[in-house]
Amino acid sequence: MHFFYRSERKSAIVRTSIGNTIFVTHAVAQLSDEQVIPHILKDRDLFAVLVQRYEEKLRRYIRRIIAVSEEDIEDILQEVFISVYRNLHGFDTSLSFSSWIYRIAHNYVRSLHRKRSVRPISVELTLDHSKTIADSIDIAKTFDQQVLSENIATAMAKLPDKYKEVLILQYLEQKDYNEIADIIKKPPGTVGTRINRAKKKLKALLAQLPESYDQ
Amino acid sequence: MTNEFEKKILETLKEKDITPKSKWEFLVKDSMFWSLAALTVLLGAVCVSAIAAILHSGDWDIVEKLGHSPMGYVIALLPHAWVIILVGFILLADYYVRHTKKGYTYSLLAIVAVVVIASIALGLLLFRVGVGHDVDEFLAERVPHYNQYGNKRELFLFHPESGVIAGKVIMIQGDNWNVVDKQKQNWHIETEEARIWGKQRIRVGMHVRIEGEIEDDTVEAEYIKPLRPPRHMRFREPAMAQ
Repeated sequence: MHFFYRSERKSAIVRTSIGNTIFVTHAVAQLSDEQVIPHILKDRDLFAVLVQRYEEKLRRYIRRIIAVSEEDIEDILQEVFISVYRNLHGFDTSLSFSSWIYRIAHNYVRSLHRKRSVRPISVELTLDHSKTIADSIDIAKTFDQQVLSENIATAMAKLPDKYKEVLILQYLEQKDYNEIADIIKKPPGTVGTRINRAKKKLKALLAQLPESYDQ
Repeated sequence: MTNEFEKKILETLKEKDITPKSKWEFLVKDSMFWSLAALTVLLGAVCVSAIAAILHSGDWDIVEKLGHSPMGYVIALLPHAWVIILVGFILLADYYVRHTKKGYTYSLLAIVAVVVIASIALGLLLFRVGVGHDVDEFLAERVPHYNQYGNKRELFLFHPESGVIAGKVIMIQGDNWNVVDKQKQNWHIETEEARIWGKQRIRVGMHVRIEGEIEDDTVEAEYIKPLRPPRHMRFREPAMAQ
């Protein structure tokens, strides 16, 4: 067992290593993403902190925006994290780290879309998500919640990518307009317009279903 | 505890010896886009100064003789090539600004408005110090067909029926000059009674505008003005010589 203590750092780092397993116990884990970056630049192993924080979130996000196998998602995720590490010096401190890492994932997936044709995504919604979306587009909710959720998912899958991605970011990833603007690199005004159009299109698609949701 | 995925990432970073790109790389990239945007604004300003110079040097005092209304003359004289190049630079500036770190946060309208205002303001400044005229003259001397797409002024100065012609002075012998116009027609000019704009500066090879009474190929000139006055005379009227 190897143990060392780095007292010269502002936030002391205590790291222990047992075999191949690295334990990062410290105060780094309590720092914000933005505060962790300078430490990672000095010690590569601390990148594990960010991987740990974003692995599941990004895995879920990627699954929502591209229809590929779990193995492919794993590969995409790995490429995204490597790209994040490579570009750490390019992190714009005026952004939140979360927006920045989502942007990298978003761009990577978009470039994959361009390189190979990917089948439409089947959007998986929880009942809570579908209720929030139904509320936002003002449709009747007198139907069975499960059916409503499935229908919204079906309609969302039919939306063009640019509309689908903003709805996913807003309702499934819980991002606000400014965060979405930072992720998709569009002015916040454009994001607002796009979300409104996406909602209208979604409502129109739902109105075409056998159980009409048009009010 | 580090999970398998974290371990895999860290091992990949180690095995492939992946290191973060230098912060200078990002700074240089961002500065490069800002510099290119500034350069395109500057080039756009040069276009504006050339357009202003062309409009400024127009023959506004004889617009009616040339068969135009003032507005019609502006439209006719407007150098389409310069306008198209200017639009190109504005779009290029928009492209470069958009590729800076924060560029995506600005709307197309905001970027274009700022670029247009900056190009016009800087362009008028360049025009005032003579850059527009210099560029116009430089291109007129070197670029074939420039008078068709750039400065079209001379094309409108052929109205013998109204007593207006223009051309290149090919001979000066006292009060008798010879001028050849764009159609290669030779004109004999009698300048005895003419008021001549900056007479002492008119030399063989210069392009001039001539007003007067025309009969066959002879012009009894009343007023002669160089199409491109010398640099220091561009913005003021010289004493007339007679």
